[in-house]
Amino acid sequence: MSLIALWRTHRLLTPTQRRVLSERRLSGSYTAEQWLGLLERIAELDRQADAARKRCGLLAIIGIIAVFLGLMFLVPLLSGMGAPAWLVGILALLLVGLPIVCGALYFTLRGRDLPNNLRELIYPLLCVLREDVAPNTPLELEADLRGGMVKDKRTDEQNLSRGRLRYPKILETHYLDPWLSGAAALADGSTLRWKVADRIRVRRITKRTARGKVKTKYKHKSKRLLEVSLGLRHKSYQIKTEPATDQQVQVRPGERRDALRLTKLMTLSGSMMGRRRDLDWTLPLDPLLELVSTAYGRAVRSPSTQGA
Amino acid sequence: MPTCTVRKGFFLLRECNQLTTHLCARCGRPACDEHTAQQDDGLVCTECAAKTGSTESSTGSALGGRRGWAHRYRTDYYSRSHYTPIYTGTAAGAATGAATADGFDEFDRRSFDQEVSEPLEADDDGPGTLLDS
Repeated sequence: MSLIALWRTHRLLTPTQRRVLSERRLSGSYTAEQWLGLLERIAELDRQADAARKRCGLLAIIGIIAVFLGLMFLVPLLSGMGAPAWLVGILALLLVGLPIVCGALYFTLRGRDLPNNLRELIYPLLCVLREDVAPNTPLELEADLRGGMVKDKRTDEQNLSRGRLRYPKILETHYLDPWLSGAAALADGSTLRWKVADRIRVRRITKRTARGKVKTKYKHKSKRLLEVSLGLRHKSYQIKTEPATDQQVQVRPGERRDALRLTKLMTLSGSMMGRRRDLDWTLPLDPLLELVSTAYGRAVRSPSTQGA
Repeated sequence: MPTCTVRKGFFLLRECNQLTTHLCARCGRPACDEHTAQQDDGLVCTECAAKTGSTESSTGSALGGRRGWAHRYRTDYYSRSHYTPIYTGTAAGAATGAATADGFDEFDRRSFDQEVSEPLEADDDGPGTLLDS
């Protein structure tokens, strides 16, 4: 049973893991192995919780259909056949109880759900970086998984209706959510930094119809900025000269290292149902890795280091 | 004692070089504890396991754990993105095990590079037997 497995996994969490789960924040400087040890069980718990939530949701929907069919057909049929009243009562209770219990479990699990970015991006990213980081060196990581539309991430709010009668209120709210950043020293002496930030614009439009009804709808527009910075040592690498039209890559020369800075802007799409504030735009691993690959693709090993 | 010849890394490849007594059941290369996974046919290096596994989940993977998952994802990523990793290992490693731009190394090509050390089996029937009698 998925709920039992979920409960068992939750019981095995350490106090630090429970704190990460409740605060939805990660911050610190540990080795890659330590990060993976901390996050593995949390990621597994999130996976089990998502599976259990889906199952509860499905059972709730089936239960609602079963209530209608049962109360319309089954209960009268059994009563007509002379079944004892207590049996009919128990059956009716089970039919009504199933969707209520499953629905309650579904909404409880949804309220406590961690964004999938932890197990779909952060954990796999650490597995990949563990292969390339210098041994026993700490890896800095900061992640804010509370979601983009929380109060302290709000940057601006204004009413755009300007006294229009049909649209008495058009509230536009801007959020800035820099939810992931980190830095690592790689095995070849390079330094890698990464940052992911979301910009979200939400419009709450209140409209008065010709009949006098008031309707409200929500619209959103979001963009995600990925930024990777790779510092390559002079004595290990030379940077290939590329045409100046390559806007995505910026090269900043330095005394001991040259820094390659790459950015990628993504448009986030998806529907916003009502006032739901739990939009979960999962970032796959590939876009971040592609930026790092592009940075290394601009570098050539210095002849003195080849075959060393 | 031989050293592990499995290439570790993702953007940068280099040999593991840990001392080991294990040999991969498929390719026969020395592989250390960190770079082996128990499969149906025995202890297999993560590179051989990566060629047969999936990249679906990095958590709770049965095929060699996180390191096995990272190797599988690496193989998949190289083929999708055509990224050529930078080799930062030793010259000896470059000569024997480094992957080239097409992703194949000496161990992948060994079955095609066999020297013909023995002459073709001579015809026992004497000269002229190839001609019809």
